[in-house]
Amino acid sequence: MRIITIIFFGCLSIAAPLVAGSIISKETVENFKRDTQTFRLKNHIPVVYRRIPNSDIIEIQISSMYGDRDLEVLKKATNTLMLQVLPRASGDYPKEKVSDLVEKYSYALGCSPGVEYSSCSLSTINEYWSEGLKLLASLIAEPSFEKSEVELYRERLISSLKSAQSDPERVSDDAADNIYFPVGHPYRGTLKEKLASYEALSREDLVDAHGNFLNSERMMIVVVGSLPEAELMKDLNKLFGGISKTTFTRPEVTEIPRNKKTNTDVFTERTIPTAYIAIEYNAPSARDPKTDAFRLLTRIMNETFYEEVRVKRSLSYATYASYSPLEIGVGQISATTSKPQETLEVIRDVIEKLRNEELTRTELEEQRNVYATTFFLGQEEHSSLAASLMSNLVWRKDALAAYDFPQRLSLVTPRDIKELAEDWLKGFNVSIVYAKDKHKETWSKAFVKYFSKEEIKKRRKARRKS
Amino acid sequence: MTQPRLLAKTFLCLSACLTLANATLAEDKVYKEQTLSNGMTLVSIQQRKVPLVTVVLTFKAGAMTETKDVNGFTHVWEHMFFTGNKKMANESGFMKRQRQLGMVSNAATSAEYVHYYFTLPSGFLNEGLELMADCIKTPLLAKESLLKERVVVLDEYDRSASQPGFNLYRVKRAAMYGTEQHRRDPLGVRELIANVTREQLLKIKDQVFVPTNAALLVGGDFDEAKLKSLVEKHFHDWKDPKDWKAPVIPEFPAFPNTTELVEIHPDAQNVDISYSFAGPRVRKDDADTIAADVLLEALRHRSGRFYKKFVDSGLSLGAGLSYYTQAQAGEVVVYGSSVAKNAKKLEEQLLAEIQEWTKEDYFTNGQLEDVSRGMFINNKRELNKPSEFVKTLTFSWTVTGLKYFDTYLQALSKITRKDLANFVSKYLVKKPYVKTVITSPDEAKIAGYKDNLDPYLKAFNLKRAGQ
Repeated sequence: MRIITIIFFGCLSIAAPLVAGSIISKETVENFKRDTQTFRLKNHIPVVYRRIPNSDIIEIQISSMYGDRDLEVLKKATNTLMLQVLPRASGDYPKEKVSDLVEKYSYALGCSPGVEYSSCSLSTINEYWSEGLKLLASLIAEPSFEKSEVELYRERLISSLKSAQSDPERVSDDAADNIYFPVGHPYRGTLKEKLASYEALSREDLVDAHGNFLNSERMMIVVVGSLPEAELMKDLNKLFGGISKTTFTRPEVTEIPRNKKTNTDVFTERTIPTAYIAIEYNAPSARDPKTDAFRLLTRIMNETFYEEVRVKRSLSYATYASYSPLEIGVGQISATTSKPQETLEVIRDVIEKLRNEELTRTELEEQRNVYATTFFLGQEEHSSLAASLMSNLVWRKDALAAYDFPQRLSLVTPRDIKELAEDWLKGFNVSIVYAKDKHKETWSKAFVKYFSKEEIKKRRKARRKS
Repeated sequence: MTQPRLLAKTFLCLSACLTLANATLAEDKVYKEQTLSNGMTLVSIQQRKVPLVTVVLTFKAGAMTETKDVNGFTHVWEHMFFTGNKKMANESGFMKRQRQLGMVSNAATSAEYVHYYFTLPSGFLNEGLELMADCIKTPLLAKESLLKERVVVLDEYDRSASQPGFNLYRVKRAAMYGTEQHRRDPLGVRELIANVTREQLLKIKDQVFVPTNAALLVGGDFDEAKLKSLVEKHFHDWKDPKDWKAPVIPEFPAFPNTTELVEIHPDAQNVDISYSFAGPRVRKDDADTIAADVLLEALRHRSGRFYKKFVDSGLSLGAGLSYYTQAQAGEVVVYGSSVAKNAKKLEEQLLAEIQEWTKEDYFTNGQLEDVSRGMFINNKRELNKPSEFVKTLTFSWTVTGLKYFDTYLQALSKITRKDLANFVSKYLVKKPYVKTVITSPDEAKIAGYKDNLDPYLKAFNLKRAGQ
């Protein structure tokens, strides 16, 4: 048998650090930018097109700045239900026809709700693109929201939410959300509140939500593939260029109050052999110039928790730090452990060290290195590449900023990391799910107190004295 | 080595226009397979999409190569792989090296294979191979590390045990596989894990973690012409133990008579129902394993009778057939999930529907064509992601054999409605099954279920997790 080597276009390299310590070569970044075009449809919807020469696959993501944030508490589930039912049928494509096409051409077609923005996407091969794009456009423009479909998906989503309550990790996260997000905050949506919302929703609510979604003023498009640009532009203008615009306002997203005296920790009883810990705290907005540095800090926490909690002390199989940069940012730390007290103390010590001591340059460089790999892993697949371009379009108003991420990271210094830790790693909210007889309330209260404004001030004073 | 010197290596730039040659899997292999001087297989697939390379070391080992008294130890071994070798004192050393190389890594142990993988910048392939070789050739399995890692593995065990379905799944496995059920349980027995010794792990090393039982798969951006010599450089001195023979894996006992298991669990939600049958095994019944895959996809077809009757109608929250290609065992599972008021109806209709699948007109030719086309397209999607495609090949080498992979899509496209009907008659109709139901106390009352797990737990010498 002949052995075929699959080779792609490109001038790619991971280079020696340049003057600024870049881990991806400038040439590579310039090539990616060269292969990315931006333009606008006739109704001003921005389009980003990343060409991948000779790619068989094409992916389109259409996002709208409409999400859970835009919904009041009683209607919190509207966006999710709307986006589940939207791809089922439209005026020109009744349900049977949608099913036939999706199966015939194996379209990966669906929609997903988000907090700040929501998306619909289609992934297919070039041969079936044209038909698929028409289908997607029709579903987005005039979904049928047939009553039977609304009821079917409502029941499914309710059951899915109920199933989530079986999972102690989801329960812990949900309990953390409940104490972290004030009632009425646009980001708040506990399992209980969403369940109540699903029960109360009507078809008319979905139609209203769709009306908000389908607004050229809110929408953006990203395409990744190998089509000729002119042809793509023509198709997109034809199918999406007629979407009208409506002025809109969004509910304000206020920062979560940090130095709370009460409601900072919660315990949920469950007869399980290991505790599930979820900690939430304020983090930089996606618009904050320091968001990239905070990603790096989060990674450093992730690695250090792994080493200190798991490797050195065997306290946990799984300890994570994560960061959701939205209009306001949310940081999370989670762990499973049969020793929650000890685990919280180690997490505490890791954070305290990051707050008070700078990493060495070598330590920081080492932590940065993995972004050479994760950056290119994100470039491997059309969907992750499209998502990255979309995210940068949303938060930086510049999709091409996605390619500059490694360069921005290379400018972060140990001092930046320390200052970020001081500014943000405090004011924690702790949720624990565990067996009642194996847990003590004082453990999470001690953790929260340690990073309260007053205690931080005391320790700072003591350090200055000494 | 300091950081700037490490990163001073610049990597070749593919500046010329290089043509893309699309592999047509029907006729041409996308990989190259070779045997090294020490008996290890080397499989390579060059895909220069991004300047990354993924190295996977895989073994024909897992729960299937364990005896009862060491159940779970292969998984413990997997953890110990990262905890130190001749050049690296402990896991902190591994983590530091990982950071220096900008590497992501992980490992997994299942019933039929264990694999370790590194993804890193292609310019560090040499260093990545060296690290992989050091980890497998000279693992320290230090006592102190083992004592620590045992506790971590126990936490992993406890995470599984925290899920509502844990007890039921263990009982089901014991019912299906009898005295050999440990060979489908990679997680193992908690009490054994808690006491595993270094000597026991060393014994496992010589039994299964040897070159002849292994393959190294390299996928991504690398120089094919130089690969073999590079791999030889690092692995040539890794040898099989003297007189090594592949472990003999006993057959499972006969499938039991029909058994029905019900668990009422306080944390369960909805009603989850499954019927597990003895199905085909790859390397024995290849054609039937492919028929199983086609049947699974055909049942998912949104225009199909099954989907409309069971999913679109709202009778279930989800229903279908699952099948996982394995060489030692082949479980075909018909499953469904519903709210309490529909549960009994769902149960009856799922079982009754199996008989309908024996009718050749249950599916249409168009639906089978859609399934085949869909699998071809899916394959293109997999090829689109080099770091994951090499892991697909890993599964193929270890479990199904690469010949199966080579001919899979062609064979799938030839499956007919008659083949599906024959498959159903052969494996499902009037065949014994192990049925499971799990639900919450409230839903059990509505649907009329009673927990019957205790006698089975006793018979199989198991305890409910948490007790």
